[in-house]
Amino acid sequence: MEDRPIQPDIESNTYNYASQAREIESNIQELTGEQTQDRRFTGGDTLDEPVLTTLNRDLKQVGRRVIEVLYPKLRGDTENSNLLREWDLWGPLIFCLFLSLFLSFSAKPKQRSLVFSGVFAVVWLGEAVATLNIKLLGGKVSFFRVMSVLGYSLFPLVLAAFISLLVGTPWVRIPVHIALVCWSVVSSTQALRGSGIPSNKVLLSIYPVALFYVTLGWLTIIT
Amino acid sequence: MSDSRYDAIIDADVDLESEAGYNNDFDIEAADPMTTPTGLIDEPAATSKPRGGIFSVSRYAQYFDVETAEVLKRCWAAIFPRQDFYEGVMGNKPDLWGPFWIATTVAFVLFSSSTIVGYVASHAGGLQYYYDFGLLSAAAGIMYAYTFIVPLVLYLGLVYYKSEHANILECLTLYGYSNVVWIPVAIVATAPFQLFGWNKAANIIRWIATAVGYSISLLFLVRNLNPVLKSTDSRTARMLLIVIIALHTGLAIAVKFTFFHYKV
Repeated sequence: MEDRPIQPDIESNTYNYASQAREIESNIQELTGEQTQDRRFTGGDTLDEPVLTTLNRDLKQVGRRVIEVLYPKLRGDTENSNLLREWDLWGPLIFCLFLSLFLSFSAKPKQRSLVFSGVFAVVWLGEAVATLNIKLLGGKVSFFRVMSVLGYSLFPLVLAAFISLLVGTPWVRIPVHIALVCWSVVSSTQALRGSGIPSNKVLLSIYPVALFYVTLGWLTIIT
Repeated sequence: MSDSRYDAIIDADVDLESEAGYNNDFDIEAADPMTTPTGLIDEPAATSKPRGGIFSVSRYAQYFDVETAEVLKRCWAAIFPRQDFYEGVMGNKPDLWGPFWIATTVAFVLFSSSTIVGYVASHAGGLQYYYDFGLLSAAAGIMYAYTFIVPLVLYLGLVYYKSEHANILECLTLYGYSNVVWIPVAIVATAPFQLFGWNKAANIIRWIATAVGYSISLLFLVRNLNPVLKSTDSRTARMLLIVIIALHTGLAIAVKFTFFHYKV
């Protein structure tokens, strides 16, 4: 690489490297026709930064994406949303673990480990199958991006499971939890809007997603 | 940190993904414009012929090429089996969307119906209710096994006895849609008579609901499978019919005693 003067503006410097990297990557893609993977961070060299900085950035990223998924209004135009473009499975993993944990705390004492493993399996299998269903119906989005959106939309259900730990009265739980399940379903389907499914099949693709959240939501109500 | 830098990568990614299945034969077809339909690229993968290996999604998309209205029509035809399902409703398009998601829905509905009654009964009795997670696995196990294994066995039987109408997809579709009727049955079975202490009445309602569901789905199955079975010789047809009826009775009894059976 050619010598360049040291620039005081580090931000723009890293950006230049990133854009160069992107250029090279797209050239490689054109030449080889191979698919390059998305990265969660393309802002520069992260090899020698402190671990805490990395963790902090990843957590912030998770937090930002939760807000993006769960406040469809704030996101504005769905076409410009980068929800379906970037993905990560850290948020889904964290939410899945907390959901299973909360549900296993409030389960029958003999069935705690069964509920933990069962909910864990239902979450990942459910997400995978609902995603596969979207692909099979002609959705043109990548598998893991949809998984990521579905996993981030689990957040209201984690709240619901947490509320269930504290509140036992059915007349409080039922309306609150129904509202939280609706929140999950609406935000995930809003985020998946641009996935290219023909309009006469949209219901067929939304229904499994809704069924997935309703099943888990029902567990949080009766637990 | 602008988002624009992702565009090139992502766009190329999406294009490659969505057209991966086309790349091979697109060149060949493009060479002969007379046989190439216009708008080839716009054609959704679902309506095209199977392409790619057995592990590619586009190969299976053809079995999910149904519209919402069609699925609803098929469900309706399974609850009120008035016309011939093969000719009148399914046509030449068996689908796997219905069988899979109906089985999943029925598993969930059976589980929730069963837990609603338990919940109501324990709260009426002033007890803390603990649901049984095993019921969810049992519901999923029973429904998936019945929906996918029985048609497979039936198909193998038909092939063995050299029926010319043996078609695994049509059997799966038929069995899948026959399950729809369990959804209203499970809802009726939650009738909260136990709140008033009428345990006997509640149990009778559940027996009646199960019996009605059993008869409707059996009528649906037998009526539509009969022409297929007739293509074998009469002894085999009778034997297969008895096996189908026995398995269906088994399903109804398993549903009644696993999900609609409460000791309060």
